Amino acid sequence: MLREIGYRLRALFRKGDLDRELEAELQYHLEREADKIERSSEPVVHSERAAKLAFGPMESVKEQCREARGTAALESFLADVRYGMRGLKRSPVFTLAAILSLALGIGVNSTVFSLLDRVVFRPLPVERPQELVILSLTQGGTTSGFTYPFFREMQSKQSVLAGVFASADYPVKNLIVRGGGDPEAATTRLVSGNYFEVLGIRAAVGRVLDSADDRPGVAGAAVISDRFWARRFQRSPEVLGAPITLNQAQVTIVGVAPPEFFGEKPGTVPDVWVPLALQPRVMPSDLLSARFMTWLTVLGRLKPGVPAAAASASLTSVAAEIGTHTILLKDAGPLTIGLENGVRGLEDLRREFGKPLALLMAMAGMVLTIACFNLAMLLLARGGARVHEMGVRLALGAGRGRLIRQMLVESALLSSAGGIVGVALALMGGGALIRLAGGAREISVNLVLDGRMLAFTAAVTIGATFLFGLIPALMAAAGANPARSLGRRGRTATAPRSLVHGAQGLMVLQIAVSLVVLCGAALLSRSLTRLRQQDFGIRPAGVTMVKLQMEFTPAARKAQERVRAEVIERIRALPGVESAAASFGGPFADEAHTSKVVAEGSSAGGSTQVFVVHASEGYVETTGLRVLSGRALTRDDRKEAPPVALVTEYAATRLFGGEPALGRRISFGNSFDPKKALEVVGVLKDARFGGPRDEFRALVFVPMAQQPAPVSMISVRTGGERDISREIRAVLQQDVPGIGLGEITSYSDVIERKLHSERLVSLMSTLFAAQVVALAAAGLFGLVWFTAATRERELGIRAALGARPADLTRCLLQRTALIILIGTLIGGAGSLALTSSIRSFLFGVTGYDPAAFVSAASVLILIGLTAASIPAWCAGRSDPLKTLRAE
Amino acid sequence: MPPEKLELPQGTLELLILQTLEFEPQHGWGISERLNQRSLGALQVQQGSLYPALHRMERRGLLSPDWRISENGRNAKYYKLTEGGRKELRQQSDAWRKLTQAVTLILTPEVR
Repeated sequence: MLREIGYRLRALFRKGDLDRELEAELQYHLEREADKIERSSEPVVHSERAAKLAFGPMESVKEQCREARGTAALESFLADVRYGMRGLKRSPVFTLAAILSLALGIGVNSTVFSLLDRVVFRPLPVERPQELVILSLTQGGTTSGFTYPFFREMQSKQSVLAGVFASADYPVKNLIVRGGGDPEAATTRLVSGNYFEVLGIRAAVGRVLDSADDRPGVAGAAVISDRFWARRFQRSPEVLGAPITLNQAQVTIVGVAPPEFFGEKPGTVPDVWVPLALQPRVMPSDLLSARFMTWLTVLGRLKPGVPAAAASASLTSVAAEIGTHTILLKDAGPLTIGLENGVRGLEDLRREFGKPLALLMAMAGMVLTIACFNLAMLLLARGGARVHEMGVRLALGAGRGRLIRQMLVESALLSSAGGIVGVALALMGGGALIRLAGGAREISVNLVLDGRMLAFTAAVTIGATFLFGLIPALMAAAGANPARSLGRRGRTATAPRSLVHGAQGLMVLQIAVSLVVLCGAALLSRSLTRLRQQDFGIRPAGVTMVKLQMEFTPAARKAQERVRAEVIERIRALPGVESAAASFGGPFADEAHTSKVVAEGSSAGGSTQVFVVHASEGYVETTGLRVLSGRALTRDDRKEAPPVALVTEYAATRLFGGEPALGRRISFGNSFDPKKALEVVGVLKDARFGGPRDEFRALVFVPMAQQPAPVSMISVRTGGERDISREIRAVLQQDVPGIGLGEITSYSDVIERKLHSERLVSLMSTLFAAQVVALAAAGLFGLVWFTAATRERELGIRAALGARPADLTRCLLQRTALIILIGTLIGGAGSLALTSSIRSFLFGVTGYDPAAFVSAASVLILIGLTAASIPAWCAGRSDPLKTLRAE
Repeated sequence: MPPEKLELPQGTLELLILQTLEFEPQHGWGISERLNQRSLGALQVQQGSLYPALHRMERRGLLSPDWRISENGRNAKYYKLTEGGRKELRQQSDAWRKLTQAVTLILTPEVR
């Protein structure tokens, strides 16, 4: 096999040598034969001729020998490639522009595909991911996670799955690591002991966790991620056996996970994995015996050949056996266990980014289509020259099929160059783009060259080749006419009308699709602006947020209490600080406390689920919440004072109907309890809570002094945008050393971060829009340029007959303006039809936003006309004598 | 009077070339001569048709080329059997023997 490849390569590149060898070989044969004939008994006069006769047809033998080398098809292909290269070199500007536009088009597709692949398509990097299933528990129509007791019993009683494991990063995701450096917050997942075994993951260094690590009371063990190993331990091999503390738990690092492993949740990379048995030591309450906390996510591995439905039925009967004493709802009917395909892991990231990325993929596809239309149009428009060349080649005996192949090879040259540059752009620019969009925090993906991306890019490149190459090839080959090309005026004859019309038609299409992309981009970025500029119900500008890590040790609780009572005063005293407050939770904070609230003396509907924010005095003023009636929280809302609460408008409506809320009493729980009643002393304007797009929720604010809670953050309002993070940090480190200090950022940043998927979509679509406009400009420029070139003779004659340059320019531009107009009309209609499909992405704008349409269309028309008028202006001023002399 | 010339069945030319080269390398003309002699001139092989076959076999790696000085002092292209060529020779001659035996059996009149 290798030898054959070697032979063919030699045959291909040393063709001349082989031909000479063949010649020598056959010559030798003829000489020997002639020699033999001469010496034979019957002397012949023309021994050489006799030898040739015995040999047979010489040229045919040579040809057959060459064919026997097996490289004929390849040789003609290479000839096409060489010919194509020469052609492209002859028009370097066109070639470069074509490659660049294809590279950009292919590059964005590769980038978006890579993201989409990681977030949506790619299987988990574990052993046989297709066997993984995600278990869900349904009871009385409610689907939930699993409690620990239920999971353990199910794990021991089931036999239908090859393995079943649990994991959780709830209710606490970040644990404070101490040891081996400064205290820092580490993303931690609690996992059952068989986690790594069921996933089929072996440690890169040391060992993974096993079931022995997951027994209550054993010394804690932890596996760390490759990233964490590098970050905190500089990849030191001495990390094995190193003791660290996670909150209160002493653990020993037993191993490092392989670099590509991130767990079962795409997009997140935990720093540390610890056994579930450690839960009571790292979190405030013991969930291992809690029968009502469904905090576990459970996955399993199907046995080969067992269908999911059968496994699900078997697990459901196991669940019935276990009974409801281990699970939340006692009387809500039987439990069913559902199985969901787990090949791609848990879907959080997919839910958030799946649709936006699909939208971007569609837009990227449109951009590439536009680039292809553009190129096809230009190829057609300059087809005039090609038609002449093709006519000559036809006359010389080439088949039309061969001509089409030749042109496709040229297209393939362009697109492969574009594909290669495109991949390079994607690798260089893709990561930067994601970071720019600020998604890096949420999508932890690195764009690296891999087989899937390459395969996708190759497929896209091939598709693009045919998309832009086929029509011009077919039309030029069909339009070529040997008789005309060889005629007296072959060179100066105008291009066939069909080519011109084809080019114009493609330009109309290009403008239409471009307008769709532009409208989409305009709507998406207007939507982002609206999201940012909306009334959040708070005034984030000028507010600094200090996050404190959640820790529940007595020491940590004491430190937090000091922050609330004393340290906050020192922060208030810092120069430039207007007000400051401590709280647990709040708008856009990641942690929230939910509860049911009941109004006193209410009939039906007087209770509602609310988010409860525990806040110190000054919180309302600091965050910029607005008091509609009543008052904010004050210093007088002490422990001994009558308990009070503030409610938002929405909460008030839910609790009291339309009646005035001030002075009414509420209590937490399922029924009103007068002993724990709180008096509503203020009604606040509604504020967004979870994210900028969320509906308003019912919020209740209570004084921290009366309803104790850990301090999870400190809000500080300064006059103007001042960075006082250093001063705040200094105060905290001095007054409460050892407190788990988190990030210090501006409130605006906290909100902005929640907009990552919107920002990614808006940024990318703006990029697409710029690309599309550039392509349209280049396309119209080229179209008018080539049109002027093919109409040179006509224009020259008209100039000679007295037409002014302006007339000629206008004449060229009229047709172009018509093309733009028709394209805009078609595109406008298309946009109206298509933008309804992106309605779910929009905020504060409808799919039919006239401003977006008008601005998109006017940008396109303005830039298009400008681009077209440059060559039109030049053509109008060209010297008529020059043209006529050529006649 | 020369003997009656026979047409060569498809594909057998390669087998004959392999066989000819079994013991020593040979050049094209030599192979042609050898074939003519060994068959006592019964085979109708146009000399030219040998070469495409030789080149095809070279590509397939059955033969390897070897330029050397020939018996008449000229530089000539000799062909040598490769390992693959030897294997091919064994397989093909085996197959040929089986085929001819079977055909002969069928053609032999049954003896009662």
